Amino acid sequence: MQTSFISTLSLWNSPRTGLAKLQTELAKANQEGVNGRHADVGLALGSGVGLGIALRREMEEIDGLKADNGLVSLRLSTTQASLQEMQKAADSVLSSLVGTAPGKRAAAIKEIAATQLSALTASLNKASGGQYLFAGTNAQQEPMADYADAAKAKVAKAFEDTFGFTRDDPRAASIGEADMAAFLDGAFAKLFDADGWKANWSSASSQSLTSRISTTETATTSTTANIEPVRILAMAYVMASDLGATGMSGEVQTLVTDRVIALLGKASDGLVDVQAGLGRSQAMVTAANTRMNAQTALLATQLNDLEGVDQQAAISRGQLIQQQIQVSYNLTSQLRQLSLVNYL
Amino acid sequence: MGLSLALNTARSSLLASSTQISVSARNTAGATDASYSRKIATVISGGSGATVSVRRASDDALFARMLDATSSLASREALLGGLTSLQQTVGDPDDATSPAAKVAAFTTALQSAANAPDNTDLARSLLDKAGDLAGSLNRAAAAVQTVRQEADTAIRDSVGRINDLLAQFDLANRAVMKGTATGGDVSDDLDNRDRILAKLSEEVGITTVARTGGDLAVYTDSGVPLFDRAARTVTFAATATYGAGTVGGAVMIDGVAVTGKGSPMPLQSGRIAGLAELRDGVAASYESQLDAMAGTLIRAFAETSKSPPPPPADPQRAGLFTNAGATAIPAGDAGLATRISINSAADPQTGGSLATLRDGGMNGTDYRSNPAPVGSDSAYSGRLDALLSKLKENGTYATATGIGGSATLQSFATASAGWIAAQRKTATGEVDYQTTLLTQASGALSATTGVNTDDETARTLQLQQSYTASAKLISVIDDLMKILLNAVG
Amino acid sequence: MSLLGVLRTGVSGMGAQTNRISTVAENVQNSGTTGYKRASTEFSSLLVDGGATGTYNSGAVETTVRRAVTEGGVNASTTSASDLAIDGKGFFVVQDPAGVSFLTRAGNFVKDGETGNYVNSAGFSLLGYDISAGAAVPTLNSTDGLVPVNMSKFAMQATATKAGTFGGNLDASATNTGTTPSAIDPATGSTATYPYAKKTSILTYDPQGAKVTLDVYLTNSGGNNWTARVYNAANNAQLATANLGFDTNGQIATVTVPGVGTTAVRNITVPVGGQAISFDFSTLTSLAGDYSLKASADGKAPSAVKAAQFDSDGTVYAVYDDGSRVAAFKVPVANVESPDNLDPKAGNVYTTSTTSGDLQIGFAGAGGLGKVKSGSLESSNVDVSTELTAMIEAQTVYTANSKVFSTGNELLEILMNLKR
Repeated sequence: MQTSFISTLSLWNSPRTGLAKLQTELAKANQEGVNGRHADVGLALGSGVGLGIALRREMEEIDGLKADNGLVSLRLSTTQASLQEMQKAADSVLSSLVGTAPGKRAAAIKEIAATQLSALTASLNKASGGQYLFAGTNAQQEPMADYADAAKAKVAKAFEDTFGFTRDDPRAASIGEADMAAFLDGAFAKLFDADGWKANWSSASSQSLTSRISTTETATTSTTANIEPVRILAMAYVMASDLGATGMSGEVQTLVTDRVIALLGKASDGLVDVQAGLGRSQAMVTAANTRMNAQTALLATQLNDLEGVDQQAAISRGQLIQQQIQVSYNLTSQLRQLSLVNYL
Repeated sequence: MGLSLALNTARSSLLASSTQISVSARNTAGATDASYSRKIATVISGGSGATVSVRRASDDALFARMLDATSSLASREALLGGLTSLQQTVGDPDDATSPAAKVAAFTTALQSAANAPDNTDLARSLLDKAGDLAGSLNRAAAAVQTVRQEADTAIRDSVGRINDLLAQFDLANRAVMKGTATGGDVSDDLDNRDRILAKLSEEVGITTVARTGGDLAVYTDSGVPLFDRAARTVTFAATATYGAGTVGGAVMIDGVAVTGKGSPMPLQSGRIAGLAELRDGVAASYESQLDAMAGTLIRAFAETSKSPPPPPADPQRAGLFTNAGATAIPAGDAGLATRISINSAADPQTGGSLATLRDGGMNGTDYRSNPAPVGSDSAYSGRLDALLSKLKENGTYATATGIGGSATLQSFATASAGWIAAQRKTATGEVDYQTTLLTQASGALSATTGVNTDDETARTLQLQQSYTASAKLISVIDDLMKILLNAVG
Repeated sequence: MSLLGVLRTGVSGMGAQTNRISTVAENVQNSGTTGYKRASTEFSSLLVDGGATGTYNSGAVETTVRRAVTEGGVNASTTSASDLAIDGKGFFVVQDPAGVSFLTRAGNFVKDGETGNYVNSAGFSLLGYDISAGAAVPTLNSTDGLVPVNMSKFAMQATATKAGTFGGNLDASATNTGTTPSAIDPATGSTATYPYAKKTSILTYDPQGAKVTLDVYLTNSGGNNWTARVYNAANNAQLATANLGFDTNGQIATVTVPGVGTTAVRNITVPVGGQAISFDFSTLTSLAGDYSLKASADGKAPSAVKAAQFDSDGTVYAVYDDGSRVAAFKVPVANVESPDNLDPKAGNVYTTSTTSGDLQIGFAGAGGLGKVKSGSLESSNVDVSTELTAMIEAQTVYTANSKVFSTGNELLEILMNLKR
């Protein structure tokens, strides 16, 4: 009975059996040493692969939001610039009006107001990135029609309907203060309320754009041509430029210019408010971007923790395996020489 | 009886020695054959000289363990092979080829489009990503079907091999029985029979029962007779092509289905068991996961009719994602991953309009979500926002998918990728484990029944001495005889 | 007192030694003959009554040839299975082509191509009893009933299955998931299918030797009860049903056959090919362990005889191509009271003589008779060196006798010369 028996096949195979596995391990260690990631992430992590994909998804979402935020920021800053321009224009008209003697005011601002009205229209029709800034959700249509296109006729008609004659009629000089006030508060103002405005002036949607600026926040990121300050501003400019006040009595002239002054002031204040609102959105976008940058860095770190390997460890493991393989080769060659027949 | 008896004894000793040497030579020749078992020549001394009987070194327990490990390993390897193919649909998470990554990219594109609904570039990107997503589901489903098809073919081949091996086993078993009956040397026949059993155990897990007269009955590990005096038939109807939801045929051994859900005696191990598990289990589950994703997408993007009551017969129709272009919302998920496609009404290349992505209305103006008239309100984000929130809603997934429960599409898709990777990891671990077991079992068997050439060489030297002594004896007797004859002469 | 008597005595001595040399010559010649028994010469003196004192008449010597039949030769191993030797006392019974029986120990039998008999080198056929139909009944002191051992009649033979066993464990927790084929249930007479949990099959043979595979479907009826239904796999006809009741320890307790009643656990009959097979269920258990039902049955398919195998008790088996074997003949071993007194005939055979005693027929290994050894031949029991020694001795004695003769002759010559 043999108590310690080993077959030649077992003996010769013994150093070789582990060799294929070692070589696979070596290839893996080399790859991991170079890439710093698991050679076969799926195999190494198992269901952890899901986490890796989830982390990547979050990063991708954040990257998408950051790209979107770039567009939003551009829109916001261009809108702000336009609003500022409008507000500055209103302020300058106001200051020139206030600086002029009351009797000469109507004549003085008639032309300026006309110019500013078209400037306002141009500002409101400003586009950025293929999008009309003040069009609200109807972003692909120019929001403002030219004053001369439709609104001018409506103003003229409203005047005629109220007083029974046109503005350049000599009878205009006879319009009383009270009549004019009633006209301005009534038929004229009606042209500039929300419905009248949309019918005659604006094709913009009153719905301003909201954007998701981070995974959790949304912000209003545009304003529209339909907002009240814009309408008031337009009303003031039309009042000053196209009512033909210069041909009216001094009292009426004063009434109109006073109204213009009041409206300009109100519009300016309103525009500042809108700017402030959009400014808040801008600040939110900036804050969100900062936060998301930090988040991206964190996610990248997490991902590296999950899928990465210690390159140094991988390289030294590779070296160790190489040594093992050499030992195995050595043993194989030594075993080859080991046979009783060689010693007989 | 003097010299004659001595001569006879010496002669039988010579014969015995040479028989033993020939056995040693046989052993040496078989040293590198893993299935060769060491032959042991035993000398039986009788009243007048010696006879030699040859038996072989064997260990039934170790051999059974080796068969068991072979079967288990073959089963796990078959499963792992398929899982590795399936994992290709997920790929490295870094490559973003998985359906889960495509869902993420699609969601991001949807978000971007919702942030700038009037931006056609973003809308186009959304459409592209939707196409990518549908394509990745199509490809994954095709890969699943390829894997199932290949598994089916492999089962067919395996069944063919089993029938071949059983026919060989019949002959080998008969040779052993004949040899046993006539008292011959059956050690080589036994080796041959064991070799066939080892091959058989790769295909199917087996247990053996020894019967009288050297007969051996072979049963599957689930107890179905494979060979009991005669080979049982193993049949399998291969399925030529695998489409969505194709159910493959069961392997029948002796009239009993040994694979598939309804099997009363399912196989536990062997290549067939692994392939069946792959074809009917893992791959089918993965396909149902893909189908569930496709179904969720089609339903989430469905368009609802805005026409005044009474509502039309189909208030909901397929939106961006369709069941192979059909307008109807499919009732079940089966096969959707194969058929999911982009609605041509949304694709400018097929005459559609990108605006329908934003406004809805791929099924006509009744199904339009944007309240503003066509062509206006181009930055309307209501529908895109609604779709986005719907996409992020929790849905219910059937337990049959293997990862059932309440989840968002994204988390379900991610879980699916994780699921397949986890299956592969488990299978790899099992293959490693079973490989180790098989190595150990084979090593132990080889150490017990294998040949050590040094041992054989030493034994031959010993026998040489014995042979020389016998020959010497004969020559001495010859000399004595000569002396006697000289005395006569 | 006679000189001529001396001459006669010398001649008689020389004759006796010639006999001795003759036996030596025969022994040496047959030193390699299988089963040859050494011949030896024994001498006894013949004295002539002297009558008167002082005279002596030399007598003669009588030669008796003896055979050392009881002295066994060396059993040398050979490679042929039909080479037989008797390891111990006894003789094979053989017959010559004319049908006369003889005894012999020369067992170098070879199958004769023409007749199929096993014939030794001297042309004698081996005799035995045909036991394929039943045990041999030897006639104690005659060769009646012995026939030449011949495998031709066993060339093709099928054995129908008569009995089978069901052993192993039925997993007590198994559930019925399969469905049996549709068949007419012999118990109820109506067509039905039944659910089953496990299935196995048994290969049986009908009297023609055709394979009949029996499918056995096992239904877990719950409460430690199982039902076994046996179908013919070829046409799915239901053949038998047995309700198996297990006790609380999972051991089989009762077996009920519908329409028949409770039967012994060793006797469930299944009709196959017009013949009933009895199945033994007694080793079946129903424990919560792995399913491991192993069923087996006897019988065999027709196949060609591949070889004859000679067992040590003299049984000759016909070994079939499929590895199964059938006891075909029983070779008897014969003996007599005094084997040395058997009458030797040509071809190493012997017949009984008055002095040898009567023939006694027995079987190998029984009653002090030797065992039959296959692959072995009994060598001649001649030792050449002994024979050569005997020859030298005979030569010496012959020479001495011739000296006696020549001396007697010289004395006679002297006597003749006296007359001149």
